[in-house]
Amino acid sequence: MKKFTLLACLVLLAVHSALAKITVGASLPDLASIASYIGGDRVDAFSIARSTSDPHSVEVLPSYMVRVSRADIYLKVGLSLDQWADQIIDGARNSKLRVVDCARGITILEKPTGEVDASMGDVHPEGNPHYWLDPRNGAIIAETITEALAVVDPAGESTFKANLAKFQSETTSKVETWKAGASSIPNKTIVTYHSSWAYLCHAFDFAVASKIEPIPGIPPTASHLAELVKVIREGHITSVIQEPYFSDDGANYLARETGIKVLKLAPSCSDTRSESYFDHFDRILDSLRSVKQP
Amino acid sequence: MKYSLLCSTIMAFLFALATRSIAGVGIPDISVIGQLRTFLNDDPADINRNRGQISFDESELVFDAALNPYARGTFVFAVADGGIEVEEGYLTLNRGLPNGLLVKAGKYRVGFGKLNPAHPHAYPFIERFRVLAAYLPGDEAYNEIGGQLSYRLPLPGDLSSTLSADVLQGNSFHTDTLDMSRDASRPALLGRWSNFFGIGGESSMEVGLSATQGVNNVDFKSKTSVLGVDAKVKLRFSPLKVLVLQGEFLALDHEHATRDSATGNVTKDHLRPVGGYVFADYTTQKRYNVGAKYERFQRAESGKPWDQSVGVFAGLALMEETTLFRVNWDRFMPDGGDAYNTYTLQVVFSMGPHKAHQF
Repeated sequence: MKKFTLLACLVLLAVHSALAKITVGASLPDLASIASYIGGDRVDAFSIARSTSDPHSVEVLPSYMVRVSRADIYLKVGLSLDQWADQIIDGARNSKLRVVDCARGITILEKPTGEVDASMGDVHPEGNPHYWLDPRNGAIIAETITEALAVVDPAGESTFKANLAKFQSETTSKVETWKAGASSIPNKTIVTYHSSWAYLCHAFDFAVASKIEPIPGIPPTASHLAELVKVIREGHITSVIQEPYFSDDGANYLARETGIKVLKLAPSCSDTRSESYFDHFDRILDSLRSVKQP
Repeated sequence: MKYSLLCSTIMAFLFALATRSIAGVGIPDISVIGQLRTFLNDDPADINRNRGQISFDESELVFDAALNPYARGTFVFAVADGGIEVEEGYLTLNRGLPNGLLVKAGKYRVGFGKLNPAHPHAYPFIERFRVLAAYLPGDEAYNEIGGQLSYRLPLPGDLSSTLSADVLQGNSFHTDTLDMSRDASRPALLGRWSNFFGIGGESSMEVGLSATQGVNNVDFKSKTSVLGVDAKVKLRFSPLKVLVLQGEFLALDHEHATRDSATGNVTKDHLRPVGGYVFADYTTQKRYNVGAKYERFQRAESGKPWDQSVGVFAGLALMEETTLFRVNWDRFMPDGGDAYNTYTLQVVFSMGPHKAHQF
C-alpha cells in the first residue's frame, strides 16, 4: 500500500510538472501578448501596465510584486521607459526570475547625439523606447522571447520555434496589408501628443508635423498651441493622435480651432491575448483611415 | 571646517566612482533634493510671529545601487548648515533568501505606519503631523540602527500580506535616561503587519498594524510602547484623477519611573494618550494636487489634554517630482492654549534619476 501511494505521488508530481505552465510577467500588454503567441498553451502571460496606463510612470504596487514573485520570466521594455519595473522586480524577492530586456536587437529611433539633460524635458538618453509600435520590431521581440522561453522550458523549444516562424510570417503578410491600407490615406502627415508614435510612423510612412507637448513631459503653452493651429491649417492636417493618459485639453482646443479629428489611441494593445498585438495595429490604422479627408 | 572636509570627502568619493565606472563598475544613482521654505505664523509664543521667514531646510544627497545580484545599497546624507550626517545607510538582501524572505540592515527610517518610513518631501503636504512627533521616538523621524527580517505570506491571488520584525539599537527611546555617558543602549523591537489589496479597477487599499517597544529609562528599565493602526485607500477615477484617503491611529504607553530620594523606592506610573490623523489628497493631470488634513491627539502629560490641528494644502509639479511648489495652511489648536495659524510656501527641487512613485 505504501509503495502504491508513493508511486501515485510520484506520478502526480510528474504530471503536475509536465502540465505546469511558464509564468511570464511583462511591463506592457504588447510584450505579454507576443509571449502568449510564442508560448501558446505552455505559457501564462500577464502585464503590469494596462493599455490605458502611462508606461513612463506606472505606480509600484505590492500586488504587482506578488504577481512577479510567482513568475519565471519578466519582460522589460528597457531604454529607461519602465524604470519602475526594477522596483517591482526587487520587491518580488524572486531568485529564479529571468529578466529579459526586449529592446535587444531593435534599431532605436531618435537616439540623442549630444549631451542629454533635464532642460530637454523627459528625454530618454538611449533613444525612443516605444519600439513595439513597429510590427517588424514585434518579430524581433518575438525572437528574444523565444530564446528566453526555451531556456526556462527546453522541452517546449520546438513549439516556441514553430510559433515564432508563424508569428514572423504573419507579421510579414500583415505589414503588407497594413502598408497598402495606409497608402490609401491622402495626407499622411499627422500631429501627435507625445513621441509615442515614432515607430508606427516609421513603419507606415506617416510624417509627424509637430507634437502637442513642446518638450517631452511638458504640457503645451498657449503660444505653442497657436503655432500648432497655424501648422495644421497650412498642412491641411486631419488627425491628431492623443494618448489616454495625457490631458486632452490641448487636442480638444486644436479640434475646436481647426476641425482636426482627435484620435484617442492607446500605444499599447488592450490585453495579453495572443492576437491582441496584431489587433492593435488593425485598430490604429482603421482609425487613421476612418478620418474624413478634405 | 568640518563641513568643508565632509563636502570634500563626498566630492572625492563621487570622483572616485566616476573614475571607476570607466573600468566597468557602475556609478550608483545619485540624486540631490533641496527644500526652500518661506513661512509666516501668528503664534503668540513665537518672537517672529507675523513676520515672514525664509529657510533653506536640510538637503538630501541620495546614493542607490545594486551591490550584487542579491542586494541593494542605499545612502541618504542630510546636508544642513550644521554639517552632514548619515540619515540613512542600509543594505537590502532581496534575492536569494528562501520563501520570499527579505533582510534589511543598517540605519533607516523605521517602518512604523505609512508616513514615518517616507521622507517629508514625498508627503503631499509640508509638515509632519504633530501626533507622530509626539508619540514616535526620535527628533525628526523614528530613525534607528538595526536589522529587519520580513516575510511575505503565501496567499492566493494578488493579495499582499507582509510580516516584518525589526531589532533596533533603541537609543531614540532613551528620553528619560539621565546619564547617557556610559554604555546605556537597550534594544528596541518593532513588528509590523501590512496588507494590500485591490478594490476594483485600479483602486486599492492598504491596512497595517505596527507595534514598537523600547526602554526610556535605562536605570529603571521603564518602557515606552506605541501601537499603531493605519489605512490608506487610493481611488483612481481615471489615469489622470486620483484620490488618496489616509489615516493612522496611535496609542502611546509611556512608563515613567521616579525614585523617591528619601526612601530610595522606585515608583512607576503609566501615561496612555491616544491620537491620530487623517488626510485626503486629490491629484489631477498628474501635476496638481489639493487636499485637507486633520489631527487630534492627547498630550503625553497628566490630564491628557487634547490638541488638534486642521489644514489645507495644494501643490504643483512642473515635471514629475523634479520641481514642486507647495502651499500649506495649518491651524494648531492646543488645549488650554492660544490657537495659531501657519502659512507656508515650499519649493522642492531634485536632480538625478527620478524614481518610480512608490505606493
